[in-house]
Amino acid sequence: MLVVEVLVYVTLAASLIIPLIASLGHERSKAILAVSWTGVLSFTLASLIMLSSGKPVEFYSGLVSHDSFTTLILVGASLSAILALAAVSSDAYKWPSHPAFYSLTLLILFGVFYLAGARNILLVAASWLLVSVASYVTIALPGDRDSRFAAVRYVYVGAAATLLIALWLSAHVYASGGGLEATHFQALPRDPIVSVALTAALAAFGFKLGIFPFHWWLPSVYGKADGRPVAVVAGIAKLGFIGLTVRLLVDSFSGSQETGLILAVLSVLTMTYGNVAALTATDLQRLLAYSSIAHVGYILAAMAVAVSTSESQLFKLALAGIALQSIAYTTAKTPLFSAVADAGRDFEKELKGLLAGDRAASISIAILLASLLGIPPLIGFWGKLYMFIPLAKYSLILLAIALVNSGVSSAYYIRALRNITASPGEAPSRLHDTYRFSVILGAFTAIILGFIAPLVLILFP
Amino acid sequence: MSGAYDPLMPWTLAWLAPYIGATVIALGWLLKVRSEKFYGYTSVLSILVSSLISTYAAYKVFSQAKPIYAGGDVVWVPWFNITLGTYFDGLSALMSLTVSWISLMIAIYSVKYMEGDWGYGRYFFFFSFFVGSMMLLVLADNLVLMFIGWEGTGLCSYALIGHWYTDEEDKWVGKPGRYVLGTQMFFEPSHSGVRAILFTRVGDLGFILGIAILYITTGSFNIIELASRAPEWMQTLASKGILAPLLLIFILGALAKSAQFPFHEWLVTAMTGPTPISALIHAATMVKAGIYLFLRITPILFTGALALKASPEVFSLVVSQLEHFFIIIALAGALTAFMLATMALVSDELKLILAYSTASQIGYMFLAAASAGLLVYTGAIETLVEGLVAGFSHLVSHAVFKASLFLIAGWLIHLAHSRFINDMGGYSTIKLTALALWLSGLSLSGIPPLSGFFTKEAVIHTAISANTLLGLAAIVTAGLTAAYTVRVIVRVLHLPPYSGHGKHKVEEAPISMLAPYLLLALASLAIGLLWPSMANIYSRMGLLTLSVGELVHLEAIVISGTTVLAVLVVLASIALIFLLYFTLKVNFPALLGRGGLYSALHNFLYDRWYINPLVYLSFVNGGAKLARSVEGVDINIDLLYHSATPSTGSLSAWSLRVLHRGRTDYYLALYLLSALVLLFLVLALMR
Repeated sequence: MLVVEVLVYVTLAASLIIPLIASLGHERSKAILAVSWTGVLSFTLASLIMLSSGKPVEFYSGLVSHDSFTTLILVGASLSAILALAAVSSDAYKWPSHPAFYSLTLLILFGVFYLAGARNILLVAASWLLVSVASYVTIALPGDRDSRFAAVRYVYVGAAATLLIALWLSAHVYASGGGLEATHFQALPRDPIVSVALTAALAAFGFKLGIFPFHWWLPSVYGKADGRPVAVVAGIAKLGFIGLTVRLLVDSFSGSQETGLILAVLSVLTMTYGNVAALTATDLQRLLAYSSIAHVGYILAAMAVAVSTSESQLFKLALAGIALQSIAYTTAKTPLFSAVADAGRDFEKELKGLLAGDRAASISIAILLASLLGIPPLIGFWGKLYMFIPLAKYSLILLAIALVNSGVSSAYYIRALRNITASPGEAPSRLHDTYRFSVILGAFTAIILGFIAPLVLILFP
Repeated sequence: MSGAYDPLMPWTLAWLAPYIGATVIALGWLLKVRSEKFYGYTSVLSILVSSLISTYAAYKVFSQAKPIYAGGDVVWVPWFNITLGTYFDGLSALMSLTVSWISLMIAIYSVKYMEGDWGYGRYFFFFSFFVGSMMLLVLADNLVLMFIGWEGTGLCSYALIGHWYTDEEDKWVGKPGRYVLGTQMFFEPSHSGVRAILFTRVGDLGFILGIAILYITTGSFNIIELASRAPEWMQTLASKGILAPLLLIFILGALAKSAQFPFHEWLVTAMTGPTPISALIHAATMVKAGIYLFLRITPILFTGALALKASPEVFSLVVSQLEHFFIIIALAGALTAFMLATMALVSDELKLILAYSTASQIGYMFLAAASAGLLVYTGAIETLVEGLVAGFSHLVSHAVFKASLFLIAGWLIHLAHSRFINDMGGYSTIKLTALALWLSGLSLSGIPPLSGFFTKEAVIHTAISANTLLGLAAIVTAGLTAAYTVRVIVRVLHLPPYSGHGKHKVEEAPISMLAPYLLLALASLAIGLLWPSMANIYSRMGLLTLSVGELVHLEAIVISGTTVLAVLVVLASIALIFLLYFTLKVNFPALLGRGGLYSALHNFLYDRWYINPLVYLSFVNGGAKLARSVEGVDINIDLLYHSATPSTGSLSAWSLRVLHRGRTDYYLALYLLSALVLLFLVLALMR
C-alpha cells in the first residue's frame, strides 16, 4: 500500500509547508487554504483506498496495521477534517497565530493514522504525544481568554493522562515479557500487573475520551473554548483515541468478564452523567459537550460486549456499531461546534428563531441533532442499532439503561430544536456561508451514510 | 421462507410514492418555488398513487385469496437479512386502503384549508412524509423497516403539531392561564410538539428493547418468519418466565403511540396543529399505528400458543403468561376508554373533545383484541377472528367518522373564530355540514344503522365474552360517548352561543372542503347499511391475515341481551342530554360558578384527573432538579480547577523554587541524596 503511505505523507508535508508559506510573508495567502485542502483530501483518499481494499492493511513491517474498524475510524476523521475546514475556511486568518490552525489540523490527522493503527507501544506513545500536544495548542489558537484558559486546563489533565499512559505501557512491556507489540498482553488474570495496567489504561483513555469519573475537564474545554478548534479536537483527535482505546483494551483484555463488567459500569455512569447534565443546559456548546460524554458512554457499552463476548458475530457487530457511532458522532459534532462559534451558543437567545433567519442551516442542524438522537434512517440510528443489538445478548439491564438514556437525550435535543424553530426575538440569526455549507454538508453526509451504513457490515466478514 | 416473491414495483410505491412526493416538495422548497398549488397538488398526487396501488393490492389479495409479498428478496442489510419487503395480507391490505384514502381526503381538504398559510410548503412536505411513514409501518415485512416508519410518524407529528411554532394564543390548547398544582394546563404549539415526541418516545424505547430481544431470541427481524416460528420463541421465553414482561415492553410503543393510559397526555394537547393534521393523526395515522401493531401481533401470539397444544404443560405455561399480558392490555384499554370519555363530558374545546374521544375509542380497539387474546385457553380460532375483526372494524369505522368530525370541526372553528364550543351555536342553518355532523356523531355514539353501531357492538360482545366486568365497562363508556357527542352537536348546531362572542357570517364550507367531510359522513352511513357485506369482507380478512389462515364466517350482528342493554344505555344518555339542554334548559356555566360538588367534579375531569400535573411534578420537574444538581457539581469542579489547580501550581513552583537557591554545595547535596534514593530503589528491586 505504497500509495496510501504517500498520500499520508502528503498530509504531513502539507502540514509542514503551511508554516513555511506563512514565514515567507504570505500569512493570508489563499495558498494556505489550498495546501490545507490538499492535505485533507489526500488523507481522505488514503482512507477510502484502504476501505475499498476490504482487508487489513499493514505498514512499516506491521508496526502500523489498519483493519476494517480502524479504517472506518480514519474515514470518520477525514470527514471531520473536511467539515471543520469547510466551516472555518479562511476565518482562522484572523487569529493571532493563524497558520498554526491549518497546520495542526493536518498534523492531528496525520497522527490519528498512527494512533489508531499502532501495533507497537513506542509508536503508541509517540502518536499519543503528537496528537495530544497538537490538540492542546489547537484549543488555545483563537487567543481569546476562554480558549486560553481551556487550553491550560486541557494541558494539566492531559499531562496527567500522558503519565498514566506511560504507566500502562510499562505494565504492558512487563506483561509481554519485554516485547513491544501492543497486542501481546499476556499477564495472568490474577497478576497484580493486570490491575495496574487496567487502572492506568482506563484513567488515561478516560481522560482523553471523557469517561466518568475522568471527564471533569471536558465540559470546561469542549463547552467553553472557541467551537472551531473544539470541532477539530472533538472530531478528529477524539476518533483517533477511540480507535486506540477500543483496539488496545479489546486486544489486551479479550474474554475478560471482569473487564467487561468494569466497562459496563463506567458506561452506565458516563452516559447517565452526560445525559442528565445536558438536560437543563441552555448553551448549545455546553449541551454538545455533555452529550459527547453520553456518546462515549454508549460506545463503552458496546466495548463491554466486545471485550467479554466469545461469539465472533457479536464481537464484529459491536465493533461495527462503535465505528458507525463514531462516524455519526463526528459528522454531527464537527459542524455543530463550528456553527455555534459563528452564530452564538445560547439557544434561548442567539440561536432562538434561527429557522426564520436561516432555513437551510436550521434544517441541517435539526438533521444533525436527529442523527445524534438516533432517528432512522440517519447514520446515528445504525450506530446505535448495531451497538444495542449485541447488548441485548450481553445484558438486558445494560440495554434498558442505554435505551432509557437515549430517551432522556431526546428531551434536550428536542428542546434545542424547539428553540431553533421558535419565533425569533428580534433580528433572527444567520450563519455565515462557510458555516452554513458545513452544516448542510454534515446533514447531507448523515443522510447518505444512513443509506450506506447497513452495508458496512460486509467489511466485517 | 420460500417461494417466489412478487416484484418490487409497483407494490413498493404504496409507501414510496408519498416519500417521493415529500422529496419533490423539499426540492421545490429549496428552489424557492412560490406556487402553493405546486406543493398541495404534488402531495395529493403522491398520496393518490399510494391509494390506487393500495386499492389494487387489496383487490388482488382478496380476489386471489393470497398475500402479496414484494421485494422479500431485495436485501438492504445483508448481515441481518433485512429486506425492503412490502407485505399485503388481509390485515395490512385493508389497513393501507383505509390509511391512504382517508389521508387523500384530508390532503384534498388541506389544499384549501391551508391556503395563504406561511408554512404551506413545509406543511405538505411533512404531510406527505407522514403518510409515507404510516404506509411503511403498515406494509413493512420486518421490524426494522417498520420501526423506521414508526419513527417517521413520530418526527412528522412533532413538526405538524408544532406547525404554528410562533405560538400565537389562538393556536393554543387549554384555557390560557390555567394552572393546577402549579403545573401549566395550557399548551402552545411548539410545546405540544415536544410533548408528543417525548411521550411517544418513552414507549418507543420499550419497542426497541422488545425488537432487540426478539432478534436475539430468534435471529430474525422478519415478521413473517417471526410468525411462523412463534411457537418456538414463545416457548423459549415462557420457559424463562419472561414472555409476558417482554410482550409488555414490546407493546409499550404501541400504547404510547395510540395514547393509551398512562401515555394519553400527548394526544390531548396535540390539538395545536392545523385541524386537518388533527384529523390525520386521529383518523388515519399515528394513533392508529399502535393499535395496528397490536392487531398484527395478537394472531401471531394466539396461534403460536395453539400450536403448542400437543404439549399440555407447555401450552398451559404459555397461556398463563399470555393471559397476564392480555389482561393488562385489556384493562389499560378499558380504563383509557372510560377515563377519556369522562374528560370529554366536561371539556369546552371542540377539538379537545374529539381528541379525548379518539383515545377513548382506541381503548375500545385494544379492549377487543386483548379480550380475544384472553380467550386463548379455549383454543377456538373463532374467538381470535371475532376479536381481531371487532378491533379492526372499529378502527376503520372510527377512521371514517372521526376524519369527518375533525374536518367539520376545522370549518366550525373557522366560522366561530374560536375553538371553544361555548362560542359556537346556531349552525343548523348550514344544512350539509349539520347533516355530516349528525351522521358522524351518531356513528361515534353507536346508533344503528351507522357503522359505529355495528363495530362497537362487536367490541362489547367480544369484551363481555372474555370478562363480564370489561364488557360492562365498555357499555358504560358507550353511554358516556353518546352523551358527550350529542352534547357537542346540540351545543354547536341547535343552541345559541353561551358567550357574547361576536356574530360571524355562517355559511357552508367551499366545495373542496365540504366534499371530503360530507363524503366521509355518508361513507359511515353506507358502511353501516352494507354491513352484511362488510362482515363478509372482514371474515375473509381473517382468512388472509398472517397467522390466522382459517375462514370463520362471522354473523353480521348477534342481537343479544347485551346488545339491547348497550343500545338502551346509549339512547338514555342521548335522552338525558336533550332533557338537560332543551327541557330543563340548565345553564351549566352558571351552575359551575356556584361551586360545590358539581364544580369540584367538573374541575377534576376538566383537569384530566390531575394526571398531567402528576407527570410534570414527578418526571419533568424531578428530572430538571437532578440535572441542576449535576450541573452544580460540575460548576464546583470547575471552580476547583480555577482555584485549586493554580494554588497547587503555585505551591509546587514555590516548593521547587525553594530547592533552587543558587548554591553549588546545596545542589551537590541534592544530587548525592537523589543518587542515594535511587540506589536504595535499585537494590530493593534487585533483591
